[in-house]
Amino acid sequence: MNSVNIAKLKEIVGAENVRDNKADLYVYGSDASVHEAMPQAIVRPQNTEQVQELMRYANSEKIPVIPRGSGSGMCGQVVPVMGGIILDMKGMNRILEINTPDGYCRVQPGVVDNDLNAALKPHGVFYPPTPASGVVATIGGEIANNASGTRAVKYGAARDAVLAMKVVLANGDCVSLGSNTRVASSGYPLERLMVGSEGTLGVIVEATLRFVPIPKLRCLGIAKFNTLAEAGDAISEIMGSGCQPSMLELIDKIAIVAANKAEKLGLPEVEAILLFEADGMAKETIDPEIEKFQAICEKHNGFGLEFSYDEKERARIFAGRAKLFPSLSKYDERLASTSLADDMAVPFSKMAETAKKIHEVAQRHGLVMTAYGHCGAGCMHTKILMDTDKDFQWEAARQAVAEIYDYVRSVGGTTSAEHGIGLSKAAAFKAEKATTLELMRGIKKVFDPNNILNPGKLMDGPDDWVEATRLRYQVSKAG
Amino acid sequence: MILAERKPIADILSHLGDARRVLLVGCHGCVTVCSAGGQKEVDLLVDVLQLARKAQGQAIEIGKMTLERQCDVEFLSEMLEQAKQFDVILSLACGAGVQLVAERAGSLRVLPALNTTAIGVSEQKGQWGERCQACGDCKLPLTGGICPVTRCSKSLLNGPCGGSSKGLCEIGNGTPCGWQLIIDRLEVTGCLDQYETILEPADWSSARDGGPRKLVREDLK
Amino acid sequence: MTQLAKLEKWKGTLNKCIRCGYCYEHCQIYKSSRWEIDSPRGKLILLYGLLSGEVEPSDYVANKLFECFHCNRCQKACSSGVPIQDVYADAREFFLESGFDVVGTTSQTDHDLCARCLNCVRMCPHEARSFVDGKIVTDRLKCQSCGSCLDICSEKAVAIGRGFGTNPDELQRSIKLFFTQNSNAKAIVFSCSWSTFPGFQTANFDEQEADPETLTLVTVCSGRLNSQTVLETLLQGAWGVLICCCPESDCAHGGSGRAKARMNALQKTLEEIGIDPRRIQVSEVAQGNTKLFSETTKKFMDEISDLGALSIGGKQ
Repeated sequence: MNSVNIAKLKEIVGAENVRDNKADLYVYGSDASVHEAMPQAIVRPQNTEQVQELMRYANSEKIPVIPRGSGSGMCGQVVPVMGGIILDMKGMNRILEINTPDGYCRVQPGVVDNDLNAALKPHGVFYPPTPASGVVATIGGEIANNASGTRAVKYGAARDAVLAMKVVLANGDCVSLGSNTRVASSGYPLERLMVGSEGTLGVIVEATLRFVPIPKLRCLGIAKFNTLAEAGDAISEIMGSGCQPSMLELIDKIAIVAANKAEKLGLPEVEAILLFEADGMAKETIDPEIEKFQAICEKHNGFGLEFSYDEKERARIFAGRAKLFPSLSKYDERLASTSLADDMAVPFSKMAETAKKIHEVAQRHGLVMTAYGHCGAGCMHTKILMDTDKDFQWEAARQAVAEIYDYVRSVGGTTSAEHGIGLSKAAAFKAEKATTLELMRGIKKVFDPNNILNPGKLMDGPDDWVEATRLRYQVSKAG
Repeated sequence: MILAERKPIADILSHLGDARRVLLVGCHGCVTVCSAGGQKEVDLLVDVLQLARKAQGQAIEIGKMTLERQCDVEFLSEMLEQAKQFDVILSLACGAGVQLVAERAGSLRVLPALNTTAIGVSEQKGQWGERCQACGDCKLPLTGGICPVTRCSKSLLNGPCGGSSKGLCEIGNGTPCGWQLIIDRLEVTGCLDQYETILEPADWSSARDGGPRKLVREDLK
Repeated sequence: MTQLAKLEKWKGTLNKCIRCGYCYEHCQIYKSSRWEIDSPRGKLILLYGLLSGEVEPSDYVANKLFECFHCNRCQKACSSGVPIQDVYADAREFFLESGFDVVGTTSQTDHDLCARCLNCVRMCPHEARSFVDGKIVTDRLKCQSCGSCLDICSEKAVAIGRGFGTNPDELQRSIKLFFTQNSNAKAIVFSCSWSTFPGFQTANFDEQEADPETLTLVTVCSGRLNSQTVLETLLQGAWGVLICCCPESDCAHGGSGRAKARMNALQKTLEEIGIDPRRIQVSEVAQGNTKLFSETTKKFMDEISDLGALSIGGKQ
């Protein structure tokens, strides 16, 4: 590891924006994944010029630089496996412009998603990706991971909302990518390349985002199923029927039990629940959609259907899904929830099968896994609930993760839907994209010849995620 | 401690009249302990006066100091020096302090910001009560440590009167009957027999009734 | 470290923390500094590090654990069910017993200025202050950093070292900045840490329609909001001041009642000096009732807009 000149960093951003004591470094060395590592310094730049100076310094000394938002990523995207400097982008958190006539807003990367939407609300618009972590996730991180959420099925993901951006490259140059227009066909869409690049190609210092009108009305419904297969068939038919739901979510029994335990919701503990939503400006366009969803669900033996336009009712119906992710830790006292095999995308017709496969793999390996997700977009989320103290459980997890992603590939799916690759999914990603890894490495080399931007990720990610870093848990070898 | 509380603002303002330069002087003594005239109360009064004058469209220049005590001459000198740049001194000390300052302030007017109410103790959070009227001839040895001059509304020396009921004084306000308190204390201390001693009519010449009192200690001169 | 055994029992619980970061949203300490070590997640990660040996116990780490306003919003928001305050309590005991020099946000007393009036001892809702051997002593485990003692002290001898935006001087600075930088500035809304804590992080606006009329500032407990701070706000040119506090039955510090009594007295003073007392108002808003908060604020703004600017000869 090359040493970092702390005095130099303080010169660039001011002493109050640099931390290098062990305690702070330790905190910044982890995110919401199972991985952790120690960085060498944390720097909080306040503007683009400072980012440029920092990059010039790091590039000349060949010191890794890892841009970080709130560290809510679940796969180790910002874990500094090769040491280096963490760029805490939360210091650049201003909303620069909201331009309603031209339909875009310009923001700095440290703006929190929910804050942006709070600012857009008075204008009657919203920035659609809306991941569940919007309460803490920053725009920069969302772009770097092509984040999306429950509304992706209708409004798309971060990539569809990004029009342009300013990026500081490894050599300190600041370039403008994209344009502030809704359409463009002017050469390589480099801004789209940046989306999902997980900090390996450049540091985003400004983003131009489009927004969509906040629908006047939303109607949310719920249907319960006794088998995953029937729920899955309903999903496929809904997506294939010409409907345009604004949300289509699947929740399996394990997730339901966890949500009930954590939030005392009293949801019926059935095999699968589907949440569907249609939105729009007038009841006349929404009602037929909802009726169609209902009919399809009932056709596949869905029961206990209800739906509502009312805000309070919708909140009640959605409550289980809203707090799902953190609730999983309450499923069983001895088990902790880990972000492993945390997301994947498969074709709609394969959603139910995938859920079943996950349960089957889990059972075989003595783990508990739950399946839920934005099935309308083909996105499946799982978590592994395991005894994180036990060596053999990590071994089981390693095998389970590998089997699941083998399966996902076999049905024409992809490693990550919206969480990104990071460290946990690198092996699966490399297997999936084996034939294009060299192309990707070539691109990386052009952007970052010294390989300082978030090194050790994506194409250079680890083959074995268990051994790749120190796990954030203390694992004992004994039984 | 001496108990005091701030005068109504309207009164303070009317006494200040048109004075343009006012020096507020607080005291770290008793009035700090009963939260009436300490540094915090000085700062608050500064803001109130500024707001009041601005609301009337008038200017005001306010200086502020808080002295160790205002009842000792030595503590006053620095303040009196500074006061020369002001039109009036507004003292947040008890009546004694205000008067000492006034004696030494030459041609400067000295106004009190507080009403001095009593010699007393803190009873509970945010509450203080009168205990002593400085009669100069302490009756406490015979009354179980409870003062009949202060705690009895009529200052009876051989109470209670017929207005005592269920331990409360007929004036209301939850005021305890002083003589009930005395009898209870005498009982607890095993001195109930003292109750039968009739207290003679007091010689009030040692109290304020005999004129303003002076304490002279030849051995300390 | 034998005392570390006290923390060992939390290992399983610390595993349950999935480090989602949702707690950042709720922490006044984090929002003020925006360094992740100041967030609940950051603190839990530090404890993890202590147990695994990656982090050495030190004054710095110890102080982090004591920098907390005990609002407990993090624990309420954590649906992984981590009993955050309980974990903190043991961690704090560990640091104290290990002899670390810790203060955090607990109150400190300047013994030279102290008048020994004991008002702070009586005022403390948590029995954290006592008078021992001629000096005020603060029990750092019992102290919840509510600041009631800071406010009551007539000598201004009590301080909270790092206020994370809630100390009187920090509030006054924010207020002054707000009124000098915003031509449309009209009012300050003081919100207590529990009641209507603004539920969003620190994104700022550069231009525009963000020509804000109000600024919401967090005090730890409304009961320790200095009367002087409120008057300073009017002197800075505010049309009015709104104080939002928890319903009295909810207030663990006895603060709501005190806030109401205090503002009542201030309103009387305003009346006496010819200023409309409606310019200062106290409203009860239960924790998390953001709807009522915005309704209350709107109603207040309508009222003071009718009253108009305070004619005190222009802003300072």
